[in-house]
Amino acid sequence: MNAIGTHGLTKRYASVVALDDVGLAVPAGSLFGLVGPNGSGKTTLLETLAGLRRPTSGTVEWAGPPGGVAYCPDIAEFEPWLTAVEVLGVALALLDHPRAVQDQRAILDRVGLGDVADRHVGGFSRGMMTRLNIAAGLAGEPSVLLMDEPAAALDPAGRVEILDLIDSLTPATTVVISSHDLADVEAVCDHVGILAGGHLLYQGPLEQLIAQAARPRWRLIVRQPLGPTLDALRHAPWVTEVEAAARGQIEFSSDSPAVVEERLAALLATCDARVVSVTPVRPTFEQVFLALTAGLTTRERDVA
Amino acid sequence: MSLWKLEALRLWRTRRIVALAAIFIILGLGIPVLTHELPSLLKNSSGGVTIIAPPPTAATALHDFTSNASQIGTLVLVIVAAAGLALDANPALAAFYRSRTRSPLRLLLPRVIAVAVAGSICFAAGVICCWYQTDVLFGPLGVNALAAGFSLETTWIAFCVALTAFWAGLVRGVLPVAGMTIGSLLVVGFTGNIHPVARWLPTAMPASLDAFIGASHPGAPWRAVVVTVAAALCLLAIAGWRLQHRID
Repeated sequence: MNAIGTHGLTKRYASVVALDDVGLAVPAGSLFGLVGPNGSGKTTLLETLAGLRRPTSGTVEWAGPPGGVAYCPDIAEFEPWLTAVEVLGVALALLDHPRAVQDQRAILDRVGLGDVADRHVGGFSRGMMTRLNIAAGLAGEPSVLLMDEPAAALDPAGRVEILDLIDSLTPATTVVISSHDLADVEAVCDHVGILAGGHLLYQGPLEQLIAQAARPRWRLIVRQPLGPTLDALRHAPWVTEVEAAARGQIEFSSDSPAVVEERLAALLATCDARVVSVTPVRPTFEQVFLALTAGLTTRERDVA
Repeated sequence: MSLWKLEALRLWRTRRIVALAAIFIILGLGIPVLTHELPSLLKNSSGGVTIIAPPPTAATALHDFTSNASQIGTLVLVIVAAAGLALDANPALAAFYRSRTRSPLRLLLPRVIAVAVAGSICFAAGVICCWYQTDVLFGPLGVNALAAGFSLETTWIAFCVALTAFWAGLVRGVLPVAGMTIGSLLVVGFTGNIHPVARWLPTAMPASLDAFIGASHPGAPWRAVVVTVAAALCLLAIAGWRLQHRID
């Protein structure tokens, strides 16, 4: 069952198509990472899901009570003359979702702002504003939380802390995050959507994407010398690419894992290779992402 | 925290209410003294030239106060109102509010009413100061007439705030909202010089306080009151509709 989704969602600004027939489906309870080059439509999609933008055509569908979707923009601003706990109070008043002040303080504690709950937010650093942004999103106990670049302004320790916090929200809350940091997405997300030029190139489980999109690759560690083994692999018709990686390591790829399993042992035997290990190489999400978006021009990547 | 408390805090913590109160109180305390001392000032600074001015009266003092309050006071009121009513001036802040409520009227109404009430209270403080000074310097004033004039002045304040809300629905920044509102008030003011329509326009309101006190008691300008109230309600309705449909 999907917590939130879109059907044929298109958003145009004059001649620019920001989103083109996007059919997003975010499974309930998932932590969904929305990635894409600059200008690919991530923020437009999140803002449309949050009701801050009106689609040119198409619909947003979600199963939940009104007010059950919270949105944390990438750049958070609050009235500088309110305290952190008052910001949560205002957020709850807007949502008609009354909660005790001690609950509001507990939320601030959870995002690491417990000590500054009574300080005016005008003096907050960007990292503190990001944490308050997340707290304001959590305050109304939403069923879907949309977060645009939630960890962008945080230092490395804060980043880990916030990503852990986001991870802990699921499966009770469905979380959609957009991020440029593919390592962050790979670390916490179980589902991903890849947007490019307003098109949704892929959506689904992250593991499935990596398994499907990447060419099978193996890392072979042999005792020196590497030359005969490298030559043998280069001449094997079922090997598509070979390279000497680090010291004593060879990486090669093939279109068919079955053929590799069948013929690799014989090939190594013919060149008297002293084999230490053979392991499949799991591509990173970044490699898969780059492979999927390889057809885009530099301009398409960088258009903001 | 209710949205009404939020607006009270906005006025207090941003010191906007202090600016509003200061302007009306300074005018209320200063104008009667200035009016009272004007003949002496003219005499001492005339350099031998004889200037004949009518003797100052309580009505003159109050007239000077209301004309200054309705110009300088309205200017400050519009700037304070624009700062609160320009909901979309800051996109990041607008995202915080707009993503949590589907009805901008929930945001607009407390802001409009808070500024209008604050403006009226500050104006009342100015009137009380002016009444006290005038009473001391010129003799007693008719309190009933003063109260009647004051209530009409608050109608003008409400109209100014509604006009600011209207422009906040059409343009985004604080300065454009304030600028367009002041421009519109100037147009209304110029139109108020056209005799046949003057009695129907909101500009009849600011002149009412001193008219009630002075000898030229004109009676309540009911036509202008009806037009002003109707115009304010229409402006607010348009503002609410525009803010609701402004999403790109």
